[in-house]
Amino acid sequence: MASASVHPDAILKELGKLWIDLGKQDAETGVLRACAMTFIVVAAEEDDPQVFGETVAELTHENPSRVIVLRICCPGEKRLESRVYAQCWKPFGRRQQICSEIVEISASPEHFAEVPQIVLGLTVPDLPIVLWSRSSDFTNYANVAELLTLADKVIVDSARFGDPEEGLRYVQELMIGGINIADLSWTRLTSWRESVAQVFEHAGRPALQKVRITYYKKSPSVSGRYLAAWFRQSIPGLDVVLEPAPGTTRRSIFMEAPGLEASVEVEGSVALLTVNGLLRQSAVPDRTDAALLRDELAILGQDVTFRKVLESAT
Amino acid sequence: MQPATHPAANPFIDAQRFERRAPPCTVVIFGANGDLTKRKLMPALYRLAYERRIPPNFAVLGNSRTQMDDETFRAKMCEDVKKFLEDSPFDQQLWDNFARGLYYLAGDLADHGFYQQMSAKLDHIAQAHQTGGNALFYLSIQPSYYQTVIEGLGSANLQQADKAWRRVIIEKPFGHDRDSARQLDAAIHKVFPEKRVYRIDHYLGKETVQNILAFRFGNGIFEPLWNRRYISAVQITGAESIGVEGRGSYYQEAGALRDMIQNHLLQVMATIGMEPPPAFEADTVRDERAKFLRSLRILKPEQVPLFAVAGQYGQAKLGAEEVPGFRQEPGVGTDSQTDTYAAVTFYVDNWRWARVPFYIRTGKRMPKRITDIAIQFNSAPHSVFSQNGDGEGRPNLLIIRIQPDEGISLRFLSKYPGSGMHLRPVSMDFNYGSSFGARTPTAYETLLLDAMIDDATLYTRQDMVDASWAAVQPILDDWKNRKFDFPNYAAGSWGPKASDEMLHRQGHEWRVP
Repeated sequence: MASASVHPDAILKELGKLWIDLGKQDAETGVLRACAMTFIVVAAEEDDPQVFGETVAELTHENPSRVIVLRICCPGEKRLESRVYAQCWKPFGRRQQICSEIVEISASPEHFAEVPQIVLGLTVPDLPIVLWSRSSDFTNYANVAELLTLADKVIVDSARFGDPEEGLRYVQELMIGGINIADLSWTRLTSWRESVAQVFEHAGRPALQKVRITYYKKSPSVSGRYLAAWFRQSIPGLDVVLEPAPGTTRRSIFMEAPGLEASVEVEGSVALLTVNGLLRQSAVPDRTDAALLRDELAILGQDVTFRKVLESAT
Repeated sequence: MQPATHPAANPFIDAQRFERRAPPCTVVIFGANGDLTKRKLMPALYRLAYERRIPPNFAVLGNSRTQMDDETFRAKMCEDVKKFLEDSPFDQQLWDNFARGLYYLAGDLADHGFYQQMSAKLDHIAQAHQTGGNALFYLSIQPSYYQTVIEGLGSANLQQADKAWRRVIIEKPFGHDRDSARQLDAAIHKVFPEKRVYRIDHYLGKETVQNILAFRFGNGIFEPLWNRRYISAVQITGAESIGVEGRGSYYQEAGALRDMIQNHLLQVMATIGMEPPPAFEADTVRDERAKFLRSLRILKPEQVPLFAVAGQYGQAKLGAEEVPGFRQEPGVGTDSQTDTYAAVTFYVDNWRWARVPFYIRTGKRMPKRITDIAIQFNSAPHSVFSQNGDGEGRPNLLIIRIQPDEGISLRFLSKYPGSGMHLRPVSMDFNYGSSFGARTPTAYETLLLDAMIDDATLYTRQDMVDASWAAVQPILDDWKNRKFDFPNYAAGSWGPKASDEMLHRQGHEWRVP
């Protein structure tokens, strides 16, 4: 049973009132209540509410949703509370505002076990459910499995784990548990992978023999491990090596084939693509969480490539 | 370790994730000083650059008769893009990078020497921008020059290049009638094979027209209903609220039937009526569209007055504004017989659509600008609520709105609240704008990118064009030999009375969109 203080029915009633009030405020054109999915967002304890709110606002422009924000807060206290509000925006050249509704539920760890049940009563019927967890210990709480299995897609970020091996294991376990999982560490690789595909194409699709991927931290990141697994998946039998490159912050991929030496290197926000000495430079701005999530929300089904990579990544 | 073998396809491509991006190339625009270039083409190319869909090694070579240098052309394009860019911010830094790839070459299209100069300039651009010699020729010029340009390109051997691709995009109209369309095709095919000819019909590039395919072939519930057993009629409306807007002399030669129905609306109709293709690929989709268009019943001369209506708007007062009639428009003859309105009943002779009328209408100076498709289903077979139901008898309608207010609605009957059993029509709505906040690309963005990456799915093929001309040719022939009592509808109305009568004879009536 949901807690008496925070009950789905009461929240839904509040939402109803919110929309009536919004309609009155903008009586001339009204506002458009838009919703294409339920988007459950689990905030990390250290998240700055303002920055986090901006990310959610940015996402709802392209993906109007009922957003349910879950905050784990105030350890030691007995707290479970909720509030509702709308996130509105006005499309370019239009007079009517489009609004998404946001339900924020804050619970202390002692009460968090009640939250999944509340969320189950708040999902929008028959529309996709996506869960994005920024918290690395979210899955340790009681009853969370219900939410994970309910979601059509669960998005996590293994880069938030201090130890890459732990991060990779976390994602792999979710996949083994039958979850349609996405990892932002994989999403960040899209521009790298596109560059590799481009270089390979422009070099005339050579018979690659060896690929070296460098890393500059103590051990390869989860992204680096994914990249290596992706090369092996793409060309079976290919010799792929992950090797340390101390003293630099440059991340590099070197590809070798008869008559070809090609590389993709990124330092800061500059990418250098080299094919047999010919150099091309392009900008690769750091992608925000909102930009990465936008990519993930565009694919609600299985990402077959990622699944294979995740299965074989070590 | 065994060395990897040389792969036939790029194994690193991830179609699910990677954005579709154009390869290095030059887009050559004939008619670069024209309206289409400034309003649509250049804003679309800039937007593709903004979205990083075109690579750094990309260039545009503009041409027209007007003398100007590259810098003047760049400045002019900059002004045009700022003015006509839709739903997008203008980024000066991005423009500066993009503009470095803009070039201009003035020249007379009939002069073969000009194409030699173009060849030299293209070589220079290929060197400077590493485009690999790939080129896409865009004919945004008067149709009467199509053949001249194609022959000119052939004379300088510009239609082919070593280790590079060359393609051509042709704007509608593709001919003035079936014979001239066939002549044009023959002239094109002397230089470019059909596979490298892209006939653009921008309606097919609209997101909402593409969504018809998603709606029909991505869902299971509609297909069982999508045939003569459950559908009584289909209405397609392409209405414009404006008049000819200074294009009177052009429009006088074209008319509504040629300008809208022969191309845009018949392509929309084919999208509604075609069979499911085995895959979403250029030839499979176009095969089905072509098959549908070939199934259109060709009217006999004596049937034309019964199944086609021509109209021309007369002057009217719309609110406080006096609106001129078509014959009062600049460049239009005072006894013009041009149709500014056309309505046609088409039948499709195949198993799916036998005896289902497809009513298509289009017109200038209609009450509003709207393009939509209404699928009218059969009424309920027995009237259970006949004694009370004031809404009963209204058929279910599925309305696909192409523009504006893009979306889909289903109209059905519902009980009016209260103690009696009164029925009222209600609407269940899907609105594109509120379900997907992402900006939708313009039709020209979609189609230009498609041509650059060699995806012809949304382009019309020769056999499709020929089949649609075949369907309208008897009407053109009949109208050419008749003297209409024009004007026969007032500006701001939904067209001539004869059009309503055409539907009444079939037991239907035009809906008011």
